[in-house]
Amino acid sequence: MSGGVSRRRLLALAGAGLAAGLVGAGPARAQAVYSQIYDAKRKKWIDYDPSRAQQYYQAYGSVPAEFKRQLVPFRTAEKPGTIIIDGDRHFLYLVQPDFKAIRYGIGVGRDGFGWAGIVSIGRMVEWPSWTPPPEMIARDPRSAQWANGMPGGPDNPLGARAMYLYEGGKDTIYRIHGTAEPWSIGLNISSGCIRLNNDDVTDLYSRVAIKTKVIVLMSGAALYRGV
Amino acid sequence: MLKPLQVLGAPALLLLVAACASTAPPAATIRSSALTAPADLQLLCAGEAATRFSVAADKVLPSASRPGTVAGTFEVDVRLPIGGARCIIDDKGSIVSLERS
Repeated sequence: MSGGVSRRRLLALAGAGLAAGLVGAGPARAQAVYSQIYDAKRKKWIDYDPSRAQQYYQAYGSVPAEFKRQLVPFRTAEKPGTIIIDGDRHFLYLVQPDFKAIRYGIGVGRDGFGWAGIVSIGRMVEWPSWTPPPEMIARDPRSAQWANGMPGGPDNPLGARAMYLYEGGKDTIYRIHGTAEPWSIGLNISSGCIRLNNDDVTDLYSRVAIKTKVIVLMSGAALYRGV
Repeated sequence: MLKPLQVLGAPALLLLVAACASTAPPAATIRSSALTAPADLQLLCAGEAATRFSVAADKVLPSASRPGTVAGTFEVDVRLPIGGARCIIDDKGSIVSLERS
């Protein structure tokens, strides 16, 4: 399979672009599919970028309805309890019995940081701490104050919960986690981690367990091949 | 005896309604910049490819998708351990075709 993510590449990127606090890194090429929002005044679709996402959240106090948690039909042979991530449409599905799934809105890796693969949850932490990598501290001296780890809490970039994704018994360095930026759901904004708002990540966390299978789909993204 | 709304009058009532309406989020407003197949349809294609080409299911993954040439269908590219396959599936979940690419 082509387009794999090498250990060297991942390590090189591990500290890059973690401004949003994600503990992830990305492959050389990723998807270019992003969200658009309908502008009723101008009667046209416009890019749903961080600025518009913040404006929307300020105006309505929530993300657009499509990104809110909801039960949806889902035709799959995957077992109930499996997590399926559609990075293009910014949805995370938790498979339920009877061909249904709970759908959550997510934020995903920005251009160049998307990935695809089949992994599993290897570790789960409530109110996780976060440690900026050395590369980030070098780039942003303000982050040096957290060189020994930022305690968990509402301002922590990993939010209320973190589910650490493993492959073959090893940490992929990607996580499904909460966020201190709830407006960012629906965006390609992270360094490869999957973010949900804190209410949703808490709900998801309560429904899954270690070894939960996680399938990540993203158009054109390189396949995760281990670090 | 006047009821509260009669005291307020119609203009005041309209203002109240307008104030409420202005904070209501609009209905269905989001789409993706490119139309891809729903995740469940992509995985149905991957599952069928694993069965048909005798490959372990955890080694097969959809890599891209797009609307098919026939309305109501999607074309899904599937990664296999060696090479790939192209699957056409309709929006009801029926596989129309599946071939190595």
